[in-house]
Amino acid sequence: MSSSEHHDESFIQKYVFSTDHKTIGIQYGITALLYLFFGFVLMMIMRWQLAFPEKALPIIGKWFGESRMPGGVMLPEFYNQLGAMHGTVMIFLGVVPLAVGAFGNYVVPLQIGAPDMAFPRLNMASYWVYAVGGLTMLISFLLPGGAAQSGWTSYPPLADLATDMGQTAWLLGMVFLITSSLLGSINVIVTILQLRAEGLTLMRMSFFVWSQLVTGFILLLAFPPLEVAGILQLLDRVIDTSFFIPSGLVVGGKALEGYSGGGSPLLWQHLFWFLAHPEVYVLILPAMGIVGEIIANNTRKPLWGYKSIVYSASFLGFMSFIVWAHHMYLTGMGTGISSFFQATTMIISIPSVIILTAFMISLWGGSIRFNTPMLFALGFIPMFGIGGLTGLPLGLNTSDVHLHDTYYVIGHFHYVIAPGTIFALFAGIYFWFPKITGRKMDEKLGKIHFWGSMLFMNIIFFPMFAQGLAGVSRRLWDGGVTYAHAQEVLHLNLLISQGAWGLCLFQFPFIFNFFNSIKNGEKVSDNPWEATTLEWAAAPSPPLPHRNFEVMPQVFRSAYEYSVPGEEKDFSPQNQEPLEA
Amino acid sequence: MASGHSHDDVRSHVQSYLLVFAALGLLTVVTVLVSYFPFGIAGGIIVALMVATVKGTLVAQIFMHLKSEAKGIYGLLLLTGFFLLGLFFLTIITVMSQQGDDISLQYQKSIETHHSTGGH
Amino acid sequence: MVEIPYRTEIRPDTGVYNGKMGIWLFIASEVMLFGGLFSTYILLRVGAVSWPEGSEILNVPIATFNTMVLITSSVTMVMAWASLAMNNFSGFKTHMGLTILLALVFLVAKAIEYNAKFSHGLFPKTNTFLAIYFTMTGLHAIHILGGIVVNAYLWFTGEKMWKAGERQGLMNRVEVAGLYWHFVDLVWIFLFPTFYLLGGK
Repeated sequence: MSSSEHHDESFIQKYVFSTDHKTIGIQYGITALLYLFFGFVLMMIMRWQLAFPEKALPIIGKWFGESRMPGGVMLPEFYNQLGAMHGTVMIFLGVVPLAVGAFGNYVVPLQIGAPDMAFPRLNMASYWVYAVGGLTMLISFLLPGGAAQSGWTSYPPLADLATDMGQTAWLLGMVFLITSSLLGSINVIVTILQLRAEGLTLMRMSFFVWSQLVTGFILLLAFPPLEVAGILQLLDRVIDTSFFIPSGLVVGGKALEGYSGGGSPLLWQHLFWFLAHPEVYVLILPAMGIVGEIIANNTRKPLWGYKSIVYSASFLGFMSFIVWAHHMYLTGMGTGISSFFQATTMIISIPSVIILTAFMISLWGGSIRFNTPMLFALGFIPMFGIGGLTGLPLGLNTSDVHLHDTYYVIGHFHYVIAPGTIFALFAGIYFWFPKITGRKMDEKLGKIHFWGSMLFMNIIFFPMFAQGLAGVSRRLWDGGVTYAHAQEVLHLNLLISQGAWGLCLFQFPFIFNFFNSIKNGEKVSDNPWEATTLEWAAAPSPPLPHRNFEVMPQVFRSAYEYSVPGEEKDFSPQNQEPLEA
Repeated sequence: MASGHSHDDVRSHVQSYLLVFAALGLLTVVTVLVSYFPFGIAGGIIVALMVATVKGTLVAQIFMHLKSEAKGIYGLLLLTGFFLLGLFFLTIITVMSQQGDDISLQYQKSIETHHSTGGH
Repeated sequence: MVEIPYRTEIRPDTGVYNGKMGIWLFIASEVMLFGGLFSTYILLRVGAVSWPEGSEILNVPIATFNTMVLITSSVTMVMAWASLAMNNFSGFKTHMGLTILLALVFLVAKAIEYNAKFSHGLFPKTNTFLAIYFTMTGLHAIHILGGIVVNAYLWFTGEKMWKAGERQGLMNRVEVAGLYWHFVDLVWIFLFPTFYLLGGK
């Protein structure tokens, strides 16, 4: 096929229904960033209610109408909608599509020396199914009764019986999103295993590609039980089956009628958490992959312990399937099985520690360049450290009795996802921007974005540990005002909310920088970071449509050959032949 | 041929397909008949599962060519099987370890007690 | 445009072509999907006060017939692929056509079965046994429908590929569709005794 075929592509073929992994990656990226911002806005509105319980939100409050914020004062029902959708949107519409759909799609074929993903049309399909699923979730806000309001965890019997139509829309949306994810994971795995360039053995792959491979397997095998659960809950809601409705349920003082009973609310929890635990490793692995790339590149040294990192990531993926009931310690299970899950949970913390330690040791003796991607990558390390360490009392069944469903949990997981994963994703955007556009983002704005975000992330999430330890429950619409045990830590609500709004302010330099640099950013060469991996060393910036490389590369070296003794430059690209012995 | 199947290979495969067809038919009859035997509930489940596993193995090995398939595919299926067993066993062990009776049973019992005392 | 490698040829170090790896990965996810449903069955049954014997409520003869129908369709499916491998295109059309026909027979029998239940006032909401029965066999039936669509597509468009010299490509597609079809048969092999033949409590 000649390259003139591509100048014949219509606008629709080139930009809307494209099968080119780079276009699809950008589609995922822009869509996901918009959802991340939307999810952030949802949370900022929630934080008003928590900082100023039952006070009217000036001007903006009235826009939400009488059914949500009469007179600008938030109804509990609306608070619950914001809460459930904030979690759902951030995880399933924001972080994973960005980490896997955008970065995975754009970078993986380039880093392995392939012309595209293994199944380009399937790739296009997975983006559009994601788009439909996301739209379904968005529209749910406008349905009678509003959006889902039973938490992102959607526990029955509440979620089964909730009268808001948004819950049904949520379930439909999840079915679409899970389908999109399954199609995408098949594509990623086949691409990595089948389309690697000549000479690119598995142990010469970058850690980023390894992280996407393990993530693909997790998504493939962990999501289906949640798809089942979603279908079962839909059936409960639409045709009145009793998969999750126990016998003898009393609702609002009356015996529930119209259901056969015999079901089990615990069944939902098992099916849900079977996915939702591995899901958190889906959230962190691509982030670790990005951080690994950037550390190696900006220390001008190979990653320390590449083999340990790869084996750890694989072991992590494997273990993630047998720890899930640590989310269910308070459901009344016996001590034997509880100890089993506690044991596997403790074991799974080991590979994470190995990876983080390897990253830290990688810094030792390096010629560190403190550019914006590196600042975010460095920031990831202590933030993920705090997130991981605070997970330990939650993984131990006895201490979890006190901390389950409190703000301690919210602090823990946000540390891992927000100044953890999202920092890594920011790092990835600053890092790969020059490859995608041929221009660099502005360094000064980048540093402002970093320092502001770092400060405010900690202001928001650190106080939550104190609140949780004092016993403040999560998902409380009034932030704990009515509880005696919460009084001492209530003032932190105002601080946290101010932190949230402050964090928002510091995202504007990033948003401006991102769009402005597309047109006005400093023009750079194909390999401005002087990196060793194939996307930098062998492809132009941006890479060629539908083929990526002028000449398909051949690989002779491992992924991070920086500062190799005897070589002329401090980096030796993977496609560069080794010096004669 | 790129897929490594010569005409003679395929012809001998066809023989095995027809043999397996016969075996599957027979095993179907067996599984129905055996369900009338007095093995008890647990016994019935075990026998039914065993027959189904034999049938399934035949379909997988012969129809799906697993017998001659790449090692990686076997590895994938083993991994999947491990996670599947984890899903089955860990779930049921956890539910059965509930302190007290299963929620459903508790409610059922409370309804029975209600009815037997005439309710209110 | 650079061709995507290993679409039809086998990659030496993995031993498969892309489509075959893709379909096995898909099958693995489907194992977890039906596995989730079987796990639901187990939990509901263990927690139930009483559970019907399959033959009390369900129609064993129709289901036995359907089991034979599906097994036969699996044979005709693999014979369709084998015909192509032996350069016998009309053999492919015959066997693939039979596969589609048998699949339709299965669905018709299923529809008759379901209808009989509904007309006796037995619905998914009636009790948890029926709920999981209808859901699992229903989802299975949807998978059969999907298979019919794919197989019909191959039946109609196969000639074009064959005549254009893309023989290996067509063979591979039929092999991949066949793997999916055998999996659907496999699920039924487990569904049938679980619902129709097991005793109750």
